[in-house]
Amino acid sequence: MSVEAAVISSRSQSESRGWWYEVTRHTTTLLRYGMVGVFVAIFVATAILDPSFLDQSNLLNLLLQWAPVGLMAIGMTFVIISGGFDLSVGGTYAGAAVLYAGLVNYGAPVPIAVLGVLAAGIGAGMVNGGIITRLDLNPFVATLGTGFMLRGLALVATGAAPIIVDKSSFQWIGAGKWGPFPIPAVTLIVALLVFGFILARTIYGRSIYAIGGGNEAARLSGLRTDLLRASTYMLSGFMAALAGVIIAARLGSGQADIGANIELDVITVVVVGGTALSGGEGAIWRTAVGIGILAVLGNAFDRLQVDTFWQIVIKGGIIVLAIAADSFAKRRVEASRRTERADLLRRTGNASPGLAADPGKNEG
Amino acid sequence: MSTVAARATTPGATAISLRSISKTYPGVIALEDIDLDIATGEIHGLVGENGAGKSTLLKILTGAHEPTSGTVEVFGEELVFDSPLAARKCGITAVYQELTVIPAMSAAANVFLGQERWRGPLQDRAAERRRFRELSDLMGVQINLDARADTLSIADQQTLEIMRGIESAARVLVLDEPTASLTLHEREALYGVMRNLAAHGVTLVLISHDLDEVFALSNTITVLRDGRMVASRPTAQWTKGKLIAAMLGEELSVKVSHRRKAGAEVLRAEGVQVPGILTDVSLTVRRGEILGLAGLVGSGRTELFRALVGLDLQASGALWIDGQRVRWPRSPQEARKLGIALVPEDRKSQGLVLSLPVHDNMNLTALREVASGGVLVRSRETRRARALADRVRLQPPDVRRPARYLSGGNQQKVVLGKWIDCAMRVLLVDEPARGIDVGAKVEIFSLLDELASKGVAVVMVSSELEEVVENSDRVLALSGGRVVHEFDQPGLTQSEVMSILVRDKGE
Repeated sequence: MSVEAAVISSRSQSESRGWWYEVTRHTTTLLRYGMVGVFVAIFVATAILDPSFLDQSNLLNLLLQWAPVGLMAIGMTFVIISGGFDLSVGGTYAGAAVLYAGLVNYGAPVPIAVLGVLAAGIGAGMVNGGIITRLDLNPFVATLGTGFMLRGLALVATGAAPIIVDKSSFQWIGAGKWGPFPIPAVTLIVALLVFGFILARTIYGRSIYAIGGGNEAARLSGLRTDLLRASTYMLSGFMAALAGVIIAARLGSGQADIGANIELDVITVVVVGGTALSGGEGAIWRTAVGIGILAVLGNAFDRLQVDTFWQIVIKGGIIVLAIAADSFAKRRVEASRRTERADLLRRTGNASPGLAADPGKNEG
Repeated sequence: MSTVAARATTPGATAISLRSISKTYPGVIALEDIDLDIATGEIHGLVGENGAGKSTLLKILTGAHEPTSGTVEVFGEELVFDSPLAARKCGITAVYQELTVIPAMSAAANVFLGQERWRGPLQDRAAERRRFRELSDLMGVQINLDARADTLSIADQQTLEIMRGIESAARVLVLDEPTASLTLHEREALYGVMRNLAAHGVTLVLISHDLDEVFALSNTITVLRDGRMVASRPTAQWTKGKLIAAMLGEELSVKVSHRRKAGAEVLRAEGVQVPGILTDVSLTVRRGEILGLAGLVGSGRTELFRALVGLDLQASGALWIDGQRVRWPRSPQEARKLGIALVPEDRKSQGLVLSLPVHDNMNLTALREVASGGVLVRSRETRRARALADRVRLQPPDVRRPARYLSGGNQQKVVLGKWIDCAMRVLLVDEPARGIDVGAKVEIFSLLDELASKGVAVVMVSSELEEVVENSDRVLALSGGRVVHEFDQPGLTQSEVMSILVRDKGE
């Protein structure tokens, strides 16, 4: 039955679908994509207040700056959607930076060093995934611990002194350019597209959503849930290692003390985009929006010379707002779904939604 | 239900009277012009399909929602909807279907939550413990009052809720599906308590899908359909057929065809052991038959299923599939390769990924089939899911809707549907019809029937003996982790099975 026909055949209730119904429906849509609106608003406002914001060099510089956090946020998005959490990315990041510098200083060719560091990042993720799935540890605590260990190891290995590398090829991946585009910016964009596609459109991606939204159901359906879960930590480790390589290359040195608390920035980006910490829901495009919001806002603050300490306060406020908006949107969606369902039942004039005694009555 | 005791007859004054109650939500009329009187000390059964308006009525009775128009009088006083506690002050307490016990608190602390016993400024734990034991005795249950609530079975947790309600000295107790997760034994105990309370002048409103239960307990039965009251009559004037007809607005045939022929043996398990739970269980299932497992909660039914799909790593036993000896599965993937799938007891937490839409849930067992080179193909996803939705008669057949928003019956159809096209040889179905409405129940069982006639071997567990007896070709009685009897249909009656189960439990 078409909606029109349903409405016509309905009893008088359909007229009572009032303006409030319409408003709540649109609010819902707005909130689901609300963070995109926030991003656009901030972007436009910043551009108006400070037209030089739109300079190509400024925008590319922003991408360059946010590449490490952005890359780690991609891995984190997978972890969080699968129902996990990874606090070890900061440690992996610092460890990777030190390892990369160290390897190159010991004479390893740059490409080999990069691959070695990335493999080590995957290895760190494998350890995380292994202890979380095999020993059934809480991911929050487990990765907090491994994160400390990795950063500690980096400090032990360097004595907290930067390992300076005097070799131009070392810097290419962080400071090099591809035409006008900084390599890290290109890397971030490509990674967003590739992993966005993987998460949204592949069997692997869909399986990640499934284990995050209902692990037992996924397991009973025959998915290898432990393996999938561990793989998200491996991806996160890989991304953190890549970010560490990029920052070491950009700075020209590996330092064990870089990126203190960077894991919190990474999680902020993911959450502000609207990926649910409870797992099962979220997307890479959301993370991209999260990067956009924080990058533009930070840039605007700097240009408007907002006090750094106040920036921290505002960042905290944004996190709370983002989560509150998300939770409100969920309740609204829930409520409007119920209303729609009840509405549909009333309009079809059939009390039994699960009954196909007379299929003609419910369908068409 | 087996116990049909004399109904308490206390046609006293009116406890609750609803006068032209309507409730409108934006765009929907949930209740329309309800006039209803509930007498003091009666058990008043409230039945209706999902979406009929029962829960809205419940929310109004408990003061959670204010009616759009109309009045509620409680013992002659008009209920003022100024706070959610208004109804409670009038002596109305609800025990909800969803558990509200606090997992990390002790059993006793849960019962006395918000109604602690005090002696001066100190909580009188001794008095609470005494009262807890009294309540336990009253209900005929044994619950360790110091146990953390989350270590208790769901049944015990439900019992705590009811104890909490009774403790709050309610004059009217509204019970929303109170027995959905209780064992037969616990149910009987609860029925006793309910009758006791009614005899002591407490008014009970019982909302339940279990019509037998409503029949056995209620003095009056009210039927809601589509937000209206269809009828409210003394129980004696109802028959089950009339009741179902009133709920659905039409007669419905509940019989399932039994014209299948059981074929060759598909699965044979011998000497199945799960330490402390199952002892030397053996069973065989043939192509095209439905084997029913009857047993009380705790008899090992669910554990047997879990062992068969590799969820219990302590399980051991010998297994043959199509006559071939195979290794006992150590994971659901291995079980799947052997052609064994489980439709679990708890469809929300084990059967479905609630956040994903119907099509993902249905395709979760066969993602490769709807993908090309690891990339999902949207048209194939939708096509496969639509075909399945059609076969399980999903209503409405919208495969894009998140599973969370489906009714219980539709959710169950999705959980069944995801195995239909996976060439499974043995389908283990645990409590397929728990908590779903009458119409969907019939459809679920006819679906199982259809699957069996296509050659699948179905093994089914249900706490409702009637469901097992009516829908199975053969019934195995399990008790204390052992097979205690095998019944060959036809002509099997519930009481035959019951007597075996009860006799065995008594030993």
